[in-house]
Amino acid sequence: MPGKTNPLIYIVVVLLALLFFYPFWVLFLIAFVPTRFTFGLIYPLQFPLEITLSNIVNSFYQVDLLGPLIRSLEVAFIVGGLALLLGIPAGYGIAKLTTRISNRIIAFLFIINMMPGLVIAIPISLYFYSAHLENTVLGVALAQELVVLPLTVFIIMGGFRSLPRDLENQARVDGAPLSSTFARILLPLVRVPILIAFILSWMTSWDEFTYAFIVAPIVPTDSTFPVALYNYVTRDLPLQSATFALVATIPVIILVVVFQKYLKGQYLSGGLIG
Amino acid sequence: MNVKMKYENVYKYYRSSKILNKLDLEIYDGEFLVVLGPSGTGKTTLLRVTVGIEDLTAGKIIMDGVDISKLPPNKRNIAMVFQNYALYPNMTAYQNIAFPLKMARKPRSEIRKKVSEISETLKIAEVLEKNVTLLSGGQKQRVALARALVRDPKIFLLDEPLSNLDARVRVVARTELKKIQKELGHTFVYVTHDQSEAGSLSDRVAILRSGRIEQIGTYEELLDEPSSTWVGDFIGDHPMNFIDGEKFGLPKGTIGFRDSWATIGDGEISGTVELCQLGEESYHIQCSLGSSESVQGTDFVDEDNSSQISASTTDFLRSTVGVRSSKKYAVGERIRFHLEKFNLYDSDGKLIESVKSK
Repeated sequence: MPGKTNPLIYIVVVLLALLFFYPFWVLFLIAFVPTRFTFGLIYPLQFPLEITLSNIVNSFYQVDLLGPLIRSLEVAFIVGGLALLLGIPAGYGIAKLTTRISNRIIAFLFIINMMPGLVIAIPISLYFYSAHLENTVLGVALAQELVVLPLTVFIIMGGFRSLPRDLENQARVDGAPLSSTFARILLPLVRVPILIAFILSWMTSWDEFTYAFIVAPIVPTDSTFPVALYNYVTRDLPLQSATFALVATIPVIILVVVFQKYLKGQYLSGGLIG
Repeated sequence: MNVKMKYENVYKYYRSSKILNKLDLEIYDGEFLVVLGPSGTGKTTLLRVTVGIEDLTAGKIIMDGVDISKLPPNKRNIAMVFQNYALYPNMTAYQNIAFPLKMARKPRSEIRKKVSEISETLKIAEVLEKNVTLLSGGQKQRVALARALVRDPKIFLLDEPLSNLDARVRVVARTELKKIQKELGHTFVYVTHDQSEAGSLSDRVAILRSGRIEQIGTYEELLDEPSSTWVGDFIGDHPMNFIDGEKFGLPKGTIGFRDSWATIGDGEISGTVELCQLGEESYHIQCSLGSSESVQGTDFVDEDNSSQISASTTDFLRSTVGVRSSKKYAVGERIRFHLEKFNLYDSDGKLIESVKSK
């Protein structure tokens, strides 16, 4: 039997949860409560006296919500897919090196995440311009790949590293070519790290602003949703922004709820050996 | 006997360390060869270069007259059971066993037939549909063995496959393994550091020391006539006892003898001859001999006193001595040993002659 948990813990948990959920609650109020109870009051009501869908419906008519959302989805899936396409072979390869060397390579990869995004984004955007990648879905995705790839490689490498080396040897002895070894044994065994890497890449891309803004800034309707959201906020459209933000949260919440049992430290630590 | 596999001048270096160092070995068709050696002598490496998951630094491995040392593992047709079994944890027992056949693109009906045959033989038919992570140690070991056996390879390599089992299962598994090998008539190469496994399983035992074969022969041959003092010391439940031959007027050599008649192990040194007691078997008497003064000059005499070897070395007598005798010895009593059989070694520890006295 575990020891009795201090009831104070529960109180703290509830308070923290309230703190974290409050912004979301405000978004909810703005999106679903008639404006006369929110923007219409100096001290907006904190409880929904009345629920309406008209805010959301109107927002969809007034601004282009769907365009940026679809674009964001496209970008996020390309980023996630590309992250796996590059991250799986890279993670496999790095996991085969000695820990000393592989940890250095990983640290080296993370340098990109230590630099301010703008420092990298601006030179990249110049190259993208000459490569006709500016204002394109692929361009944004490629730029964002920079941010997600180190973590992807790290997580997937951890997955491969946690497998006994003899499994692969056994497969070779059993006559399996590398492709079958991968498809039938290695990939199924590292599916959880791969899934996590995909989700994290997807969510990072979904929320990413700097690269998206610099690589695809010009036409707001061609930008991803964070950039579009920025546009609406700066154009003083709080209602649309709130609706937009709420809609944008939904896929993230779904992903987190569905895969929450995998989002644990043991998978994120990348099998680091001290 | 046909030679199934032959190692010629095999070297394997990892950076500067020489794991296999000029190894020569012949394996006969259908034999159960146990490779025995202390840990770190290259036993596992020997299997790994044989199966092809490690490259040779130099030398040749010849199987059925063909040099296979440059072939990839999947072209060698050699099966191996790894020490940790390396079962694919994402598959059922059936899928594990079927995997090599699937890779060989055998038709599904044939795969099913072969898997069910081998699982009958190994008595794992009832666990075939279970995921391998749910199996017991003994079952895992059989599944790994089944996966090796099912594809009908030319030779089987087993890397301490019983070491992960608990003691009781291990003894049963050992008997069964031997039985299966005899029934199927396959060539087994079995690596272990466990002498009792070597003794009970092997047709021949090869002793591996520092990356080369020190001696090869039946377990009894190795026990009786170790080719070097090192083997004599290594093999057997008790290490061989050695005494300096110069004490007996031999030029620079050593006499080694084993507990077929008398044992002198390197027991603790006690101050005086203080203890004589019955051992586990009634005819075994353990005597602690300690004080050199009281026992110096003890004779080693054969039964009919015809040849007498006199030893007065104190080192030798400062040992625990097991003697087969029905007589009880008193503390301080002089003990006479009968050397039924002993070996003479030169100063480099190589066997000169094995002597049997009448």
